[in-house]
Amino acid sequence: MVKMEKIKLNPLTLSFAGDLEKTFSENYFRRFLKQVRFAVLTGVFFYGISGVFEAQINPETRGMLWFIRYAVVCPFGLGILLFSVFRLFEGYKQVLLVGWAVAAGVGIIEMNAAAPPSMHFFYYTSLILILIITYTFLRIRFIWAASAGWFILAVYEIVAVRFGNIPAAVLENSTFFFISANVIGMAVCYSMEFYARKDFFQVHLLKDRHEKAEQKLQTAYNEVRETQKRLIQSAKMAAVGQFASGVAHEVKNPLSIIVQGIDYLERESIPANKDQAEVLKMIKEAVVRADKIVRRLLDFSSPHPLRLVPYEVTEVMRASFRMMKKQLALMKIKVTEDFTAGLPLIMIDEEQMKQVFINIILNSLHAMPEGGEITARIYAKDLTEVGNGIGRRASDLFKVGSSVLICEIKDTGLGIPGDELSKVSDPFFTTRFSQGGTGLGLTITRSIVERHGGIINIESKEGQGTGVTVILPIFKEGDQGGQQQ
Amino acid sequence: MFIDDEVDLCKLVKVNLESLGEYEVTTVSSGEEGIKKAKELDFDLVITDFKMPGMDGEAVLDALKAMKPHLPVVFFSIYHDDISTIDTSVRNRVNGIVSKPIDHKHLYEVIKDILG
Repeated sequence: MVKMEKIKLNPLTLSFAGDLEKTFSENYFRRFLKQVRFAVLTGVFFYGISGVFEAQINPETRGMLWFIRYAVVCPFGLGILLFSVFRLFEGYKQVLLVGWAVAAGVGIIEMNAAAPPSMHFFYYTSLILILIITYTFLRIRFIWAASAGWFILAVYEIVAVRFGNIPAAVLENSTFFFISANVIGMAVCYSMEFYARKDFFQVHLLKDRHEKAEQKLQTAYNEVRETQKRLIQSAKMAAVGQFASGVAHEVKNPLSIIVQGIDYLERESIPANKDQAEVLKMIKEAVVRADKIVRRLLDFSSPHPLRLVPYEVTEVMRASFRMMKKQLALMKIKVTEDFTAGLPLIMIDEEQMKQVFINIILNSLHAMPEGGEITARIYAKDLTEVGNGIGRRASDLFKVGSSVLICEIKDTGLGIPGDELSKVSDPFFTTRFSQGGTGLGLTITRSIVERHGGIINIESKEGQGTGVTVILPIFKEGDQGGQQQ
Repeated sequence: MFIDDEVDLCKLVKVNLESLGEYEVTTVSSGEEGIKKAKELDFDLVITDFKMPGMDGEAVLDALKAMKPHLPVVFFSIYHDDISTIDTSVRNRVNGIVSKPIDHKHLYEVIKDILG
């Protein structure tokens, strides 16, 4: 059995706290609009038909009676019916219905005051009917209906005392019955509204719980999908890695034979002409390229184990740029270094992290054939926002609030087209195949960063350049150097 | 002695090494054959591939060192095997590791260093 929360209502006005009242009002309006229209139509019909009978009984005051009925109350009711088709009616419903009930009640009181005593019973009955309709059929809020009921009674008393020709005993009697009708009407109206609100609250609660459960389910489903994707990607990478390793091992011997063969040809058969010498040179260079591919395949398929020691990342970055100095100068690329001083040492494999930065710098270089600029930044940061790999779940690499080192390398190059950006780290994806690209550079880079417990993010806009951000964890003091996976 | 399961490579290495004029090279195509040959003849140096079907380079090293502890042994294998696959204890017992295919010049230097 579902345990329900206790309903919180104002005991007098029966209002909910907060936004729930607005939602209830809209729901209540839509739910009972047809009933309200039917109630008004019924009221107009009976108020109108009564005029026909009373004109037969009391023809002298017919003019005044019919004015009240057919010029005021019935048109008022019909006007409400017409207005009810508009959206605006919702905001004015209470006021209009209460106004119509009061007009009908006061009209009866006026007619009663002008009628002979023999007709008073007719009007008392009409007034009680009006009170019944006001408290029940019209679905007016309790507080409004009660106000209307007691107002009608007050007008009756004033008119009866000042202008009516009602004997005191009859007045006492009728007052007693009108008070009783009001009290009973209020009780009925109160309980109707209370139970309508209770039903609404329970439905709302169930709906809210259902929505929350659905949300949790959706989140869990998304997490499972993500995990599944990661597992599939892992399995793919493992399969590709195994394949790459197999290929690399099989290719090694034919390459060795070619190299030994070229050695022999260069030594034993002097090239007849320049072309032959050139061809031998080309074959040798092709083998060098093929060897590079084999090495990359092996780097990808079975990475070197990390040898982690506390190190200054800024030194690694500077060393990487120094190694690429000649090529950067040749390509007319300006380098700006912006490294925060006094950064903590972090646990890295210096050689492999150098490989990461060099790979990124090489990619920037290739993206700026006409020259350009590379800006390198390194700074520490406390992560305050949820993002890629950053969150509060156990599966997130970094938790919100953890301290990290951020290494950014941005270029002003050609940028990466939107449809290619998601593929750049995929193995063997390359746009430089004709220039000897293996498509493994970024794959290996990502693998090294992830084995350091870090994240690599790539942002790019075609024609504006690319920014690569490497986020590395700052481990606590006392961590020893050692091997990681 | 040069041990490698790739027959064509054996032929070319033999021709190239012997062309230097200083070495006589015997080639075999398996670890088992290599051990057998080492028992029959005296070699100054054994160069063996690390990954071979049957008896691999490490098994050849163990057998040779057991038989002739002072016989130098060099592994001639691919990039990666020398760094990640060959255990430190093995690396400490072998006289040199040369990665193929490109590092053939390094092979000549290693041979010269060992044999003089």
